[in-house]
Amino acid sequence: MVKREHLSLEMECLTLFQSNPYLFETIQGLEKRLGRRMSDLEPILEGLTAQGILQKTGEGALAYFRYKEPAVIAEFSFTSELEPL
Amino acid sequence: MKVSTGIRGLDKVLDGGIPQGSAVVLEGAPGTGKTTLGMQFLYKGIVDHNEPGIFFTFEEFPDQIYEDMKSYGWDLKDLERKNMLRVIGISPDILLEQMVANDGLFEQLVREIDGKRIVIDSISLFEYLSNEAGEKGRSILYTVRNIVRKFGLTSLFIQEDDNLDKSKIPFEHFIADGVIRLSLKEHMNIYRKRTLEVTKMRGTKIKEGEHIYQITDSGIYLLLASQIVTDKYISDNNEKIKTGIPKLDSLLGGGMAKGAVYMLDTNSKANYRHIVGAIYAERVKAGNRILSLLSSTQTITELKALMDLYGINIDQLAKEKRFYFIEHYNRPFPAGWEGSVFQVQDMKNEEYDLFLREKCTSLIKDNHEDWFAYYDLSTIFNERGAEYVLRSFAKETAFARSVGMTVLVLCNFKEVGVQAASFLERTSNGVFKTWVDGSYQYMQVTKSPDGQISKPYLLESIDQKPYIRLV
Ligand SMILES: Nc1ncnc2c1ncn2[C@@H]1O[C@H](COP(=O)(O)OP(=O)(O)O)[C@@H](O)[C@H]1O
Ligand SMILES: [Mg+2]
Repeated sequence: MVKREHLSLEMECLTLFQSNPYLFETIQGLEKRLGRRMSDLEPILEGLTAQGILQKTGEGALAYFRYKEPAVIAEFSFTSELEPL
Repeated sequence: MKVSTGIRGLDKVLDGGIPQGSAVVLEGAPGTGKTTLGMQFLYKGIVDHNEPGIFFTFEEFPDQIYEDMKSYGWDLKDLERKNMLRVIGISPDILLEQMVANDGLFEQLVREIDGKRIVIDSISLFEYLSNEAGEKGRSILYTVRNIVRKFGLTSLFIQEDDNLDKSKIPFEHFIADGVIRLSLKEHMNIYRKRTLEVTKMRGTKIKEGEHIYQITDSGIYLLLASQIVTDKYISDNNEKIKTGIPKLDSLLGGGMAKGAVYMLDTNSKANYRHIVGAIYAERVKAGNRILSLLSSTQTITELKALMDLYGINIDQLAKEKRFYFIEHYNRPFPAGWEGSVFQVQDMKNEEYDLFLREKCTSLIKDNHEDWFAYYDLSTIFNERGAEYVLRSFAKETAFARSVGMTVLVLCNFKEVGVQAASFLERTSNGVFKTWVDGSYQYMQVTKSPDGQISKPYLLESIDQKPYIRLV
């Protein structure tokens, strides 16, 4: 259950950055835009950054995330994680 | 050097455009078209002038903007792929930090695509960046203006209307090189008028006043408040077909365009008799031959009385074969008119089609004179059905155009339904609308071939020809 929730928020963040390749946003900014708690977003954004999907620039409250060049993650597949409709 | 705004009318208001490197505030209430105008400035800059641009959005997601702007046929993602455009979603505090930073994100973005124009949507959010009341927000805007100037960027700063004290000049207006204001006003309670006003622009002459604009399928379209546009078209008189209603002619830039199809949209309460009478009379005087489709309410006797009022002897014209009628109701007509009345009541739709295509075509082509046609479309709707109208109308208008015959089509848009009405409107070159509201009748040009539209005018009865006047 915990994992499922985690996945869906991860999907939400991933989709957001994929469809907005020029979104540069802080965790606080994303909290407002997505209506999600910062404490929930933080591990996910850090995780996506560690996987090389997002790029993090700066430190602290002003650190912002953006989507990394699609070429880098072209192999990444998440469709298997999607729930059937 | 002037930078074109991407809106022809606005360039005229600004005597060519925005002086290059200016920071201009674009303000207005929600829904007035600020985001649209801002994006049009960038889009046209790229497509028409090869000047890359960057759009910063604080509240909207870029993908929402890609989607919204498709409504104007603008493919923003394509321009991003070509490195001509960036739609940046960012928080105001991050943008500010990255503008001030040495080789920050802002500088990188501008360099990456060699940006010449930027839009910030909206600077209203800068105000909330500080805890101290006001002061900080102001100095932020000042900093932002200096930075974009340093990069030589021509910029639009979008400002949401705050409904604050309107008697004070907002601080933004002092800092900016220019101010463009969009408003949406109620007009006589029946019609909302969008207006644009340039209240300040350093380094250029401006045409003062509130200019009407429309949001169309291809973006913002601005009509100049002054007579300038009209005057230019009036000089083009030989191509113009006068309506006999002076104000209407002037709204149409001199008259109807020759070979164009105009729709007169009436509601059942509106009296359009004098509009039609004035136009007929004017056309007869100009020596046109006339083809008239009689309606169920307009008999030949009634038309004769109407033309008498304008000093036109319709009997004579019919006998001289200068006035022809298409009759759907098998009503009697005066002696001597035999060759001028086409009785089509027994014709099936296919036969009627053939009649128009063969009989009318050869009639018009054999008489090498200018023709004017009056077509009561309600009659065709009633007698031949909506399907027939939708199938044949585009063909008929194309034919009229090809022979240079100017056509006035009478229709009640409300009665024919939204879909048919929008089809007819698209197919026509121009639309006049007349309607009754309370104890007044109004008339408005809502479409014309050269893109001019008018505000609604009161239609007043007068006791001399042409018996009506627009005020
Ligand atoms: N193709 C179109 N034709 C006419 N109006 C449109 C079209 N597309 C969008 N609009 C309207 O344009 C208006 C202006 O939107 P927008 O530019 O976002 O205004 P603002 O940024 O000032 O809030 C919206 O109310 C929308 O309904
Ligand atoms: Mg907007």
